[in-house]
Amino acid sequence: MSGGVGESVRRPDGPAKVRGEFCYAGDLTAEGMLIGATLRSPHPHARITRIDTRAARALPGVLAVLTADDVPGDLHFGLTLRDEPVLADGVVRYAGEPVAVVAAVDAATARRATQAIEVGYEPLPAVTDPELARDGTPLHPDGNVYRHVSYGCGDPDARGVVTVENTYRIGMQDPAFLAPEAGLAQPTADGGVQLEVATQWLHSDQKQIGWATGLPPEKVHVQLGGVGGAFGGREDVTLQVHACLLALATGRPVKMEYTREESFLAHRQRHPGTIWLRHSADADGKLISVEGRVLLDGGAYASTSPVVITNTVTLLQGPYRVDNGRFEGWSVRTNNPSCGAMRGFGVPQAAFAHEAQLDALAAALGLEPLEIRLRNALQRGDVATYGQRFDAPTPVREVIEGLQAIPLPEGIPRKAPGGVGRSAEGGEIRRGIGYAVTIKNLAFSEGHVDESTAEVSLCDGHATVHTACAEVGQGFVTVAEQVARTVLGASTVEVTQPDTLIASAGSTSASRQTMASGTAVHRACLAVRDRLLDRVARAHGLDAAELTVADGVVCAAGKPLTTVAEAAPGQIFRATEHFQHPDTYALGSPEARMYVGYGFSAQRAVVDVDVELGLVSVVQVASCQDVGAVINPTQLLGQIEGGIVQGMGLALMEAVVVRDGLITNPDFQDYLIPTIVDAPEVVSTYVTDPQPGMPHGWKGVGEPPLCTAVPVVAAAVRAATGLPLPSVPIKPEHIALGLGTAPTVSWTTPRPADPARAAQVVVDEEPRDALGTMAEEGAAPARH
Amino acid sequence: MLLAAPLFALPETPPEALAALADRPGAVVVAGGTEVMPDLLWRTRTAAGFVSLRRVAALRGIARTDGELVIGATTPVAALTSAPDAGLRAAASSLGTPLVRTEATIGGNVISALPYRNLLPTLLAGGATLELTSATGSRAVPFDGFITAPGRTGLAEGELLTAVRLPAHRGFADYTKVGRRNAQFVATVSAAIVSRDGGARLAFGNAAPIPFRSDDVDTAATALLDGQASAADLQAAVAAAVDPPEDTIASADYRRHALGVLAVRLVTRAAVDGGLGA
Ligand SMILES: Cc1cc2nc3c(=O)[nH]c(=O)nc-3n(C[C@H](O)[C@H](O)[C@H](O)COP(=O)(O)OP(=O)(O)OC[C@H]3O[C@@H](n4cnc5c(N)ncnc54)[C@H](O)[C@@H]3O)c2cc1C
Repeated sequence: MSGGVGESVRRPDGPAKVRGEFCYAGDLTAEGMLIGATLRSPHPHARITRIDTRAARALPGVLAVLTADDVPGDLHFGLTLRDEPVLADGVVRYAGEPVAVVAAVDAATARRATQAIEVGYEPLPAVTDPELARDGTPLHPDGNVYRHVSYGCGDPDARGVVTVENTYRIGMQDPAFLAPEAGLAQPTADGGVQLEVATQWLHSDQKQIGWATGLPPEKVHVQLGGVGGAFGGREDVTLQVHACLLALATGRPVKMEYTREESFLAHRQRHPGTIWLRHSADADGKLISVEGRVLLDGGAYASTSPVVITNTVTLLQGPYRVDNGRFEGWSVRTNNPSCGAMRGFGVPQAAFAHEAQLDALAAALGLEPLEIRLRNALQRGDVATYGQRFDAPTPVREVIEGLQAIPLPEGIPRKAPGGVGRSAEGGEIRRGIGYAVTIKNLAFSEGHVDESTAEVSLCDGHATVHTACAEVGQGFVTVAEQVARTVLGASTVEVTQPDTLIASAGSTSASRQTMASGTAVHRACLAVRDRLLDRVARAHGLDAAELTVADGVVCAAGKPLTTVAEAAPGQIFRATEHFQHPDTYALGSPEARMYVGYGFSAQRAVVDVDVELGLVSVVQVASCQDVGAVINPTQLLGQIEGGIVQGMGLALMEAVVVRDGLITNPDFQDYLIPTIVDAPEVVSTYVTDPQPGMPHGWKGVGEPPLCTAVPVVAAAVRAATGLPLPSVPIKPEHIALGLGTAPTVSWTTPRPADPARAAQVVVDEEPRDALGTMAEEGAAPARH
Repeated sequence: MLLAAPLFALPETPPEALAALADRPGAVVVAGGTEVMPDLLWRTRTAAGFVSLRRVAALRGIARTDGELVIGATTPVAALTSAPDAGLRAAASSLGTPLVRTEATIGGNVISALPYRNLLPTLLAGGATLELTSATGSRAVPFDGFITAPGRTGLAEGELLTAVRLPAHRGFADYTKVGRRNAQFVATVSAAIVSRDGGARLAFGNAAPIPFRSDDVDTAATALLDGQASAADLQAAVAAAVDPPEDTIASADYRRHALGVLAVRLVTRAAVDGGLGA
């Protein structure tokens, strides 16, 4: 069947995007539409002494000015802790926090109205150091520690012959999607509200809009608007609730669209963090023990900070077998911008640190970088430091060997660091080659129910697929189309715009939508196919069990009978099917099952470095990734290339610079993302060991390439310069002026693991149920 | 001609442009608009009206006269990428993106007067002269000293920059800039060189609040070219002379270091590529 699973089916929205005709959420309009605007706090921490909206309300053309007092429902929202006010509640906790929103006849009037609102602030000390915040006075009634995790396994005091330790720092990365937040809210005839919005998670928006408006879910309709990139930055609510409140207050459609600066202020960034790691290995490079401590700055409100921290801490072990260890971490509240989901969800931080450690160990022991990784590679059947058994294919060795099989092309042309500035001419360039291997958990974790629902109908060979899965550029649209072609034999497929008329698909995050929504679509297609075959069987007096569909043709005992398109003229077959991954449980639960599954990735980077000026050019990145199955080669390559470029961005240039709680670079002049001139050549190969329980054996692919690209680029720059480079992004001055502390290497007297402490996980806290709305999506897993 | 429009004028000749400006106090001159438009968008500039130079054909184009290149003020940067001056070509080629270069003009770059703008070190190293025209006539002022502070110049009220004059030379000229990615970046630091008759003249971007050069640096650069001094001597001379900014992009220490490195590399190129070395 042409256009089925395994083919490079083209995106249906591709031509419109290339021609500039695609309707992004920012392009939405409605008759009589008002424009909404937001007044934000200029202070990272202040008490609000008064808000006077009279002058703003009096301006001609202003139809609504709302503050916290005007929120009819529950003032608080949030993905986990519900600690964030829809509009500031007496105190502002970060610079950019929404204080009031207005709706007016046009953008200029709306902006003038925000300027006419008088707000009295009494500035409070801004706590911007996460370490001080952790141990300091609470900045919020809920306290400053979003989550503390601490556990150990085996004998953490066991030692090999060599021990290396260092502290690593990761900067704050912005998702930097190209289309800023936008949405259009309209009051509905039943007293409810309808929102078209660029989002990652329709039902989470619906729920949080319901809290604030006091409306029941059936009166809050959310539909996906055209999304221009997301990367996690659209998982939290930004303007969704505001737009709906304004539409309800005015009785008119209200559109909101952020400027680039507002976008930086409003959405969640990747957590900056500090990670201390100590690895001990025997003379062969085998890991004897690993100890780690993590501090992530979650910023002013919780978002997903309580979930991100467990990812970072538990995956500090990397894709390596670690029998003895001790791990601890905190995500904390500060007066910095709030951090939350971003592609990799806590793992790029861990990966950057553990891979630097592996290289340091290899260097100390005189081993090749890949050799030490092969000697420690996780295998199926191994048990993670947090007690979960790797019970599905765990092809760490295979991705490393796959990477080794990619030849290092001879005489790769130099790609001068400094690019068009031509600063390298007359200087010396050094080439470096680095390696990294990572593990990324896939799907929701720790009891956050991971499910989706799909409705598929078929009529005369035309299939319609309906889910609530947000297409944010990742390619779910083509996956759904391909499945409908392969399973149903549909000749044409329409994937309808996602909305909340169907049950939740969960977030488009965690590399999960092919696994969750793709599987729901697959099941619904199977059900529709069976209904069609039943009908054909009855019409032809045959046994349905003998009928099959292949390439759009219905066959009886292998012989063509009719085509799917002609099998039942005018008849509509429809089915709705649900999929849910097996339950997961909190860290420390007796079930010892935190994660649904994993993806593994190995990369090699070749860089050219102008050491004197500290400039880097990434020449080539080779990748071998564990992908389960290749569903769409072009889309898959897009994920690999995009992840690598975004990861090299974090490694070399992307940093939201926050000074005293203020973002100094909320624009694309000073927040640099890689251009196509910076993008390396990417060579991508795959390990396809099917994921059990998944159609075609597919698994998530979107996050691993980013997780690996951060450490691999850093490793290559270290190889070129001989510098320790313990922080990303690596700034030119780190290289040129040789800044950064090298790992401490100590030769230790071997101390074998105490057998009495072997092979058990000890968690220093009570496991708790998954927090908040992510769990509220479905039934909480049963606890024993 | 749209001279009658109250807020927006589209003159076609220099005198019309000057008259349009005189009629609109507080109006902003717009050439390519690649500075003006973002400034308006980010509200770092207000305008009581606009005088566009887009249709003033006489201000556009490059001519060669009496040992000088005369570059009309609204000549687009894209045209400079093939100008008969290697320094200008290099500085123009690394400015912005192809789209920006099509609109951006040399005049806008000069009047923006920011120390990191691409063309400025080249004009300073090359000893450029500016032609400033007002209703009462034209005057020529050296580019060196024209910029007095970031964003401030010696342009008088009601005056237009009409041309940039650059002495033609047969020596070696080049420009280079450093940033954190490989294209479309603001210079963290930059440097230009013009080398002829055995001497080297260097100028720097983001080495001080205004485009910067110094006799001491040129003496050290010339000595390096002659084999009379070492690269380290030139780097030391640069480090002693410059006063670069410290910001979140880079430390002053890095800039001081990188300016010295760029100086050495440009002199090395003059010696090797220009065949000028001792
Ligand atoms: C995406 C982007 C990237 C950029 N990258 C770079 C870069 O890499 N390097 C760089 O140097 N610049 C860069 N710029 C800035 C800008 O493009 C240049 O400075 C350009 O040369 C400005 O020229 P313009 O004609 O567009 O100026 P305009 O915006 O038209 O004018 C700039 C200023 O000069 C005044 N002015 C213009 N012409 C005259 C005149 N003849 N007489 C009197 N006053 C005049 C205007 O009133 C205004 O104050 C970039 C801009 C953008 C938008």
